[in-house]
Amino acid sequence: MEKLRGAFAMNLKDFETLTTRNLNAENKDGLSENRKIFSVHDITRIIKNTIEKDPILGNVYVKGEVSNFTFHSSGHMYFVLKSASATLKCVSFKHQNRKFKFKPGNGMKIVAGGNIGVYAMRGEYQLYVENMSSLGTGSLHEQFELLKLELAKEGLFEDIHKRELPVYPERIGIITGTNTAAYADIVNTLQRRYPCAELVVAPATVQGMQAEMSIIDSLALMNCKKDIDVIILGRGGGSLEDLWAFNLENVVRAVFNSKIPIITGIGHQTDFTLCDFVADMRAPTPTGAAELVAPDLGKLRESVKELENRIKISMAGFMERASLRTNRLSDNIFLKEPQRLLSQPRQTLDGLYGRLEREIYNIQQHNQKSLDERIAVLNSLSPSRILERGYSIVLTEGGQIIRHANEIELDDMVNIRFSSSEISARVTRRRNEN
Amino acid sequence: MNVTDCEKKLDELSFEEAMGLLENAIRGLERGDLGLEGSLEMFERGIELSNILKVKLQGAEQKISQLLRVDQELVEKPMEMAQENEK
Repeated sequence: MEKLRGAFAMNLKDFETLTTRNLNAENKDGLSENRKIFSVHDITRIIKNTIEKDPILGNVYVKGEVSNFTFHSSGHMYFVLKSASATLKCVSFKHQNRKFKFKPGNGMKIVAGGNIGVYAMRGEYQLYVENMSSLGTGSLHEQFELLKLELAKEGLFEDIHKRELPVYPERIGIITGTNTAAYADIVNTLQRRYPCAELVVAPATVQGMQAEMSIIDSLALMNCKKDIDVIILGRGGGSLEDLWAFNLENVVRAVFNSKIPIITGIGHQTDFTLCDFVADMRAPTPTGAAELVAPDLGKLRESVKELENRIKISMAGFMERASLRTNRLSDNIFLKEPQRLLSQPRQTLDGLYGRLEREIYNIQQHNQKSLDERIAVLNSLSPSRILERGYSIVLTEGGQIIRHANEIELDDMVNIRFSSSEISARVTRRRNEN
Repeated sequence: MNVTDCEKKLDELSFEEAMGLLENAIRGLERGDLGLEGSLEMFERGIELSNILKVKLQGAEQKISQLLRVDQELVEKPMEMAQENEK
């Protein structure tokens, strides 16, 4: 081990000698003598001092386009500001980041203020950023339009994704900064219009570096609850940078993915954020969102009263119609004089009865006549009438009618019947005509 | 039996449901094809519903709570109105 170290020391010594010799050689070429040789550490320290004590470099504002942006898990941000022909490394530490109104991103044109310092370990000079602003609105607008185009292409803004907000929400979620005018506006408006709803607030940081995570987190919290009917996502007015969190892709997507319908009330009438485009409804202001999300209690009371009147009126109408019908029925002539009901059938019956009587009489007359005729015929056929005309009947002693001479013998006794008398006689002669 | 069941149910209705039922009752009455008993029943139901709605609309103090995550669990903590309104 010792040996090895010794060998290394030797080598280093050799190296220095060699170098000196080379320098001496240069010396002969007319360069100054006694050149001081710096260690990397020393020279870096000198550079660092030179740069960091420079009155200009100690407080600069640099504009450029952000690239190679990294948001480290430590909370520090690293990026490069570049122009067409140069780049400048930048670092922004966690404690500074909190002050910034927006989160930079690649391609964004910004002005970064701070001091130029040297990071000795890497031999790099860089801008230690203390404040930051986007360069005008042009670049933010550009990003806005780019993301808007991309999301529109994906179909996130389409009407089929828009849900109807509940008409009478019972639990209203509110996501906004709790110590803000927007919060006060929303709560006061709801207190005035619709105090019967419960408000559930998930506070969120709505501007600056923390806003992105904070809004997404609050949306996630709300979506864990099953009983929230609608969410108001609100923020008061401000510059484009102030509202920038509502244009960040992750926030916009979180709003789009919310299972609970969302109404946005961000900024003023003229401010449009990408969250507005994906929300189920957009209100121009936080107050406007509170007005749209809940019905007006006074008007609601009126409409309940109206419905109550309507039901009373229609019930009264029903009763009136019913009593009219009853009256109409009781006015009916047959109900008033039920005997009238019978008069017509009775008349018909009377007519029928008369006809029947007449028929029966006719039949009787007819029968009588034919009876008489038959009696006359009958009479004319009666044997006694024949006997009256001079005929007589000859009977045996036994009473049997004798129709031929063969039926009796000579000396037989016969009875001869006339119309109203009879005689007995003895047969003395018998003669057949044929 | 049926009536108490019905009342219980009416009490549990959301504002929207009660409003819908009231409108139905009115439409039923206005159609006029219910008998006298049916109409009276519908009318009583409607009046009851409108009373429930009026109670719901009586401007109670608005409840505000804050949704917080405490030890991985969601907690709703009541919030004071006045304090928030000072801002």
